Amino acid sequence: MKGKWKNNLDEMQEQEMLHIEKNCFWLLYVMLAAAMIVQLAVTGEHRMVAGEFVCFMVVSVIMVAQCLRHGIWDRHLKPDGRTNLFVSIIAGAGAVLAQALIFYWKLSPAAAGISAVITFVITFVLCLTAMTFLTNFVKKKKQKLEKEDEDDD
Amino acid sequence: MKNLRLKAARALLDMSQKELADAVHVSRQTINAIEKGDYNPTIKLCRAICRVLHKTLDELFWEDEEDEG
Repeated sequence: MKGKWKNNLDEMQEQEMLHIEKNCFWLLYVMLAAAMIVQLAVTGEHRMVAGEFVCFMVVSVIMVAQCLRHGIWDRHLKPDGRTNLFVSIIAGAGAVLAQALIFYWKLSPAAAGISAVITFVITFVLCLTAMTFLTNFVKKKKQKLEKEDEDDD
Repeated sequence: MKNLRLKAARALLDMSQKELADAVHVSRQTINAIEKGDYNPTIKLCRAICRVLHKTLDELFWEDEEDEG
């Protein structure tokens, strides 16, 4: 059994494999989100995307939880108010775009406009609140991890 | 940056990339990538290569500041 699961890759191949897996993961993640939007736009049935939605959310929650556990925020963005504001605006705009693709085209321009504003505001506020909470959490976690390393010396 | 010192040390022992790769349990591609400077090996692999080629880490992998730039 032990031999069966032996890693046949050397360290460079392992790194290349991780790189391939990372790229494929993000491709799958984005395509899954796109597939849900398309299915909702075509069928209008939320039940049709329940399976995909559960998978998407489970992966998202695990990824966020693991990053927080290790005190990791992002490769490029810093955990600060500016990032939170920027990401919340992007999230709001993304939610409006997704909603537009799914059902705004069925509404009158006035109703679509009101719905877009409400969607943007709700998404923005929720995202900003969550991001602010997570930013504080990751900062505290990072400080704790740094302190643990100091104690080990 | 190419690691010519590794290539020279290997040639001195009349070893092919494949033989060195087998001796340190990696693929020939990895040895080739290290010699071409396309891959930075871990300290563990550096030490294994040094042991096989009878060289020190400094002799094979140390780079002066001007080399690094």
